[in-house]
Amino acid sequence: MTGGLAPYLVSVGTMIAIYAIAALGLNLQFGIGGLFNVGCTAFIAVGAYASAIVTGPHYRQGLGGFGLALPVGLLAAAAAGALLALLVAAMVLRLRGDYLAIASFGLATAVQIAATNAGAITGGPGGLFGIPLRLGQFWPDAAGPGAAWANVAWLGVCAALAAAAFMALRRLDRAPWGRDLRAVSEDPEAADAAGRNVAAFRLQAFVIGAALMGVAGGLYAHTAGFISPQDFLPILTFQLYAMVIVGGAGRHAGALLGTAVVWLLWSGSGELLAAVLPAQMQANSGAIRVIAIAVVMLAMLLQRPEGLLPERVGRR
Amino acid sequence: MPDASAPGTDNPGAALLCVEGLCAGYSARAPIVHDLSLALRAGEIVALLGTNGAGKSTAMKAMACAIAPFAGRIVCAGTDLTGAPSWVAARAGMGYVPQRDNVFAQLTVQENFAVGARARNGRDGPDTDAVLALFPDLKPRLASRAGVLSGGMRQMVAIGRALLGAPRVLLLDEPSAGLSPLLVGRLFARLTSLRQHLPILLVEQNVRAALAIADRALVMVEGRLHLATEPDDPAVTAVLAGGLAV
Amino acid sequence: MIGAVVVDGVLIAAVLSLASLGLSLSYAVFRFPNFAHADLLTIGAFAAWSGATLAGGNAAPVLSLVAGATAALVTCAGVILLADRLVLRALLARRQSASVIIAAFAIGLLLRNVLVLIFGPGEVALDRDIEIARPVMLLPGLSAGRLTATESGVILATALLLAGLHIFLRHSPTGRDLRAVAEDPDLAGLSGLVVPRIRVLAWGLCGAFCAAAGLAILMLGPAQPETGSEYMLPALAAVVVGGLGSIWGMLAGALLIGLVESVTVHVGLAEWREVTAFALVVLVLFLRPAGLFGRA
Ligand SMILES: Nc1ncnc2c1ncn2[C@@H]1O[C@H](COP(=O)(O)OP(=O)(O)OP(=O)(O)O)[C@@H](O)[C@H]1O
Ligand SMILES: [Mg+2]
Repeated sequence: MTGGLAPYLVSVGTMIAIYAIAALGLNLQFGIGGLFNVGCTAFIAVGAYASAIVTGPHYRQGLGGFGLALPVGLLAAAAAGALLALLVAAMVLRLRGDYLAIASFGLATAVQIAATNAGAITGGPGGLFGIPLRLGQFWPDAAGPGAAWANVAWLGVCAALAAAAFMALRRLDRAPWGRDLRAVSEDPEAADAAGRNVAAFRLQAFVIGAALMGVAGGLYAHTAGFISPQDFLPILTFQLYAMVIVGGAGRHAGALLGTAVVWLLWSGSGELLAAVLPAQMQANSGAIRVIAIAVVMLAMLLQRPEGLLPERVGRR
Repeated sequence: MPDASAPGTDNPGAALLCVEGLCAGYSARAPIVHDLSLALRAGEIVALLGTNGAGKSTAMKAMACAIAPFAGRIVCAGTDLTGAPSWVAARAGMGYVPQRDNVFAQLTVQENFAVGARARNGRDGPDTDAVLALFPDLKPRLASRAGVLSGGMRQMVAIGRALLGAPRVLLLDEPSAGLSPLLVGRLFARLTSLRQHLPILLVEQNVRAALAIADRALVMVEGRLHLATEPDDPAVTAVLAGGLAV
Repeated sequence: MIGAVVVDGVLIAAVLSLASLGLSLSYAVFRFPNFAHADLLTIGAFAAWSGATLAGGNAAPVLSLVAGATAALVTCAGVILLADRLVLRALLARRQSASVIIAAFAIGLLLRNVLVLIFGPGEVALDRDIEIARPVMLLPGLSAGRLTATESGVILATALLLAGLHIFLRHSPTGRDLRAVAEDPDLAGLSGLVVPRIRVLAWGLCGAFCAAAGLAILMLGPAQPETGSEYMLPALAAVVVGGLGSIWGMLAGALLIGLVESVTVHVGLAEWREVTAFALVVLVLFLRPAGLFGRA
């Protein structure tokens, strides 16, 4: 089962599920909570490193050797994302929108630089090699036919986690908490006057969203088996915004749909370019894909800012 | 309707501002001003009154082209301004002093005046000296930033800024807000002195002061023109006091 | 040692102020952090390189400097005006700062990758003779840092541009109109200013400053498609630290960041430079949201 459509679909599905978790986190922060976090990569990166370190073997360079089980790694990833969010929240969350954007942008740069330069922990620019793949010891997938099924099982895990996140957020959204959060983000002053603790709602949305991003980072680390600072460039944040906005900011289902659409576009255009571009231009395919996504995003912002699945008005 | 299309008619009786069937608001689904018609003739001061939230400011914003009307027509000194951008209205002679945020706080008084003069469009009108003669208190503050001035001084700067644009009509939205009674008296005395050259549409909470200088009174209720009458008509105060005199 | 730290800090601050001028101006007028600014700087550098190279490079130094400056100016101003026309103007009119910021982000990525398509991902550099760095006298007897002629030229040009912008904004009628539009575009329109025309002027100036900064960056070293991004965080930091919309505040912010970065480099932590800039931003935003010199 090497080559062919099925493995491709499995790997695309896995990436969509992972991105969906991060997009759900961003949708909670930005789409619903109105928190303009431009530094998603920071939370994804700490999640990825946390899980890789906690579950990993002794890396050639970087912290490792704990060898804990996968669920512990993912919990560590969520905790790392949440912790980083808590750490910066006190400073940043009360800032107005454009300042929050600047501060979170700076945070992403700072995390990137820290990952590059704190080699003793992160493996430096070379990153961490040999992160336990997929289900690790639960479903060893050395070589042979079992490997393909390990991929499918891993897809199942990622999709189940994405579905769980989706259901949980929907529950939260329909509970008074969700309604209050929307009220807080739509009109903070009125919500404040109505006795809502605006700061607490923002903090909760920010931290929960960051934890989801952390989990997505952890899943990514175990999918790729290798992470380096180059995996957490600003383009990643941009892709997440494309997903949330194309889908329709403010709706969880929109985030899922947007993730699927944008990732299929991204990965499909990659395949397409690989097939049609002449060999000497293959090096450009990355740039062409970014341009394509940017154009789609701009067209969407201009022509259909409410996204494919608009937030239903008057549902509250 | 008096003929508003003849340009440059300053003879008494000609309408310099003519508003017909104006509908305006902040979202087309919920208009705030409905079917408002009024005319402002040379040499008169008209008071536009109404309770809080009646839509006076919204109507005025639409007349000044600060917001686009949903329906209706606005003609100022012969120029049809319906749907025009605000700078076109200003250049056509629409002088407007908003209720809030009506000076450039970071600019000096002099600079505020100079920006206002951008609306002149070749017309003759008062220069800085003439405005300072009207508001002598501003003379020593010409180089101060408008943001540091008292509320009364800021109101004078705002009116001065509008006057320097050599307007053909002046729309004033609550010029007396925040002023002491003494200042209100002085300000309104100066407004009456302008009337000969410049008709004024005056929105006021200070009903008595407004009616004292007005030639006519218009009363809005819930976005509609409810009453158009003489300033000393007791119905005006009756409507404003809440009794909807139907 | 101290002298070297100061001289290096001033040089960093000069390039940074140059790189921040356009950002500061567009932030003041349009009220959003233009994340595409970084890539405008890069475009300035690449356009300057193309112009200078086409004009003969080192064989005709003066001509190639002029050609490089012209190419950078035309390209930067053209690109940002086009972006305004096609995208930003419509989004700004909706007054949702988030979608404007995201669009700027998208425009930046688009521009950066167009550069990759045209020039490849590698570096471009002016082909020039090696310059000798001469000692700079801070005070008679206290010499320490060294600057090349180009570096001194960049510092001088920055000072001239800053002074020029200050004079334009404070003492010319058009500059005054620009300040009026920056403070309150609604009231500016109601006062008779043709707001769209002034906004075009603001973008044009922003493009011109990006061109100057791109040229300076190229003259000080090689450029690659990510070059501008390296300036984005410190530039945002300088603008925010100094207080939005204040040129002198921005200069003070740039000097502060230049000195902090210079100290960071001299104690051997060069890689952490940007982190110090970030720490500074967060600290200032936390303690004084209006910036050090901003008026609330
Ligand atoms: N910028 C705005 N956006 C949306 N609604 C607005 C806006 N400004 C005013 N409104 C609403 O329009 C209605 C009329 O307001 P407006 O300011 O025109 O009344 P007004 O008669 O001037 O009242 P006041 O005497 O308080 O100045 C009010 O219900 C107000 O809430
Ligand atoms: Mg009002």
